Amino acid sequence: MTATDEASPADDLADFERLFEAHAGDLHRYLGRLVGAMADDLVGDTFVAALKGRGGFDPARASARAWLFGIATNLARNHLRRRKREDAATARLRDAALTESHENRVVDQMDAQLRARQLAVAIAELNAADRDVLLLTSWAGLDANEIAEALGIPAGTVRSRLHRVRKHLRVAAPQIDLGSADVDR
Amino acid sequence: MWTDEELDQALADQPVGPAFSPEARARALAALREEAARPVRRSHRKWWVAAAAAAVVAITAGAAVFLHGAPAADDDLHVGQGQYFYSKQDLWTYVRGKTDTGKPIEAVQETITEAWFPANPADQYLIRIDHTGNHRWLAGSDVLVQAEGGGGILAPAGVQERRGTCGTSLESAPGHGDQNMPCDQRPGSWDDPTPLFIAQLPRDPAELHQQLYKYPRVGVDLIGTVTTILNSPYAGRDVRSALVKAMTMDPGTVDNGDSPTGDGRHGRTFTQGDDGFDRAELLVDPQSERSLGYWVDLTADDPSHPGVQPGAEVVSASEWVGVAPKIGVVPR
Repeated sequence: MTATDEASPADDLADFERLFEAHAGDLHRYLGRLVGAMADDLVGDTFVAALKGRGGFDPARASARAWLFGIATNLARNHLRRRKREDAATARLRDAALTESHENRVVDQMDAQLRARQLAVAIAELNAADRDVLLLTSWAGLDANEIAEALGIPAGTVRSRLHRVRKHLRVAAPQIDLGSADVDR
Repeated sequence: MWTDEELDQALADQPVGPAFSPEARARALAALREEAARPVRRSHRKWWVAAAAAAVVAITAGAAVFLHGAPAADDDLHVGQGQYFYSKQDLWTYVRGKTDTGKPIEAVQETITEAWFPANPADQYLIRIDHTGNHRWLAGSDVLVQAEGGGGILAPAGVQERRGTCGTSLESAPGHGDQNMPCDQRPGSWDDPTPLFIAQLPRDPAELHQQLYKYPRVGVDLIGTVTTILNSPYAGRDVRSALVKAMTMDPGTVDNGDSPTGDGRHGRTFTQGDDGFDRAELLVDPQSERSLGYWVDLTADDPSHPGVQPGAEVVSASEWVGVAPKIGVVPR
């Protein structure tokens, strides 16, 4: 793409429409898991913000995909922060998982749903920086270099952070008592 | 302890989001094309325009009273051994939804967050979140939701507490940060402003501006980031001053000079992201350069939000900082 200040508006739009076709679906899937229906707005916001900030995009340093996911992550983080994010995200994920658990009677499926609910609470308790690395990996499918480009941090930091947060979740999530977690609200 | 496979499966089992409908896709593409067609590119997307049940922030015009009780020293607050940096935010949150019978309902609700950060970051911090239950209906009423449902859009009243170490902001939560590293060595970020992150921020406003705008931030998105730093326990006067100057370097920021506050004091007001629909404003104490609060004014009719009238303040966050003698104790 030619995301430079010198490009004409028509050129910019054609470039960004190509980016939209290539990445909007993936961005929506990623954002949808984070913010639910708000993803509809945030996908548009991501491309509008990218268009407005295209002068700061350096294709030599980052892929357009990583750049867009970085913007989307930033927008989602701000959105979640304003809706007192942990509370709302926990409730949404927990409630959804709970609904599904009533529909599944097979024991192993119940175990899987229990783990999913425990993990939802554990993820909600992570700070934004750790959560971004985890979910950009697991839900957006970005590799460490892409996440480094997206978040503007060293790839080594991404790897160490991911290793640490996964270890933390493997230990902490099974210890979460969903009964007491619910009572707090 | 879970295996890696169990963790991956639990991640995969998290609920998926809604489908990207053709209508939503068309709207997103239209927003892009509309922005591209603007001769002066400005955001017109209102971050607070939430989908159903998504909580954002709003308060009706004139209802916000900015008390600005920060111990507005003209110098840095000194937190001695055994004392705590105290931070408080009174936030009104906008919520919308429908009754079980399909009637639109909109309300604003209050959440008060207080935090006590120790002089030594390695010691335990406390964050207390009070869902006060205070709310005002913009569309609907208590009687309506009792009769026809939908009251679930409001957070139940109650108090939550978080305790942990290496706290950085009101957003800190247990398990955050690089836990294998000492507090003072954690790299941090704009949203997790560790002592090291703040220490490494450039003091030159132009350089700081470049870092601040590395990713596009407009309106209250920008202001939220700035206030987090301004009211950080680790942000000294030098970085606060540089950050305020950096913010004013953005073409979308207007310095409105002194403005009166609710308690008769004055703060310096900055407008950010005025796009003809809404306008974000930040109030900074001119002496301490701490954040006293921020809000967003709705400046035009929005047919999708009949309960929110033009002129309404659509965000309201009043903020205070101070020094507390003990954890959990509010400074006088």
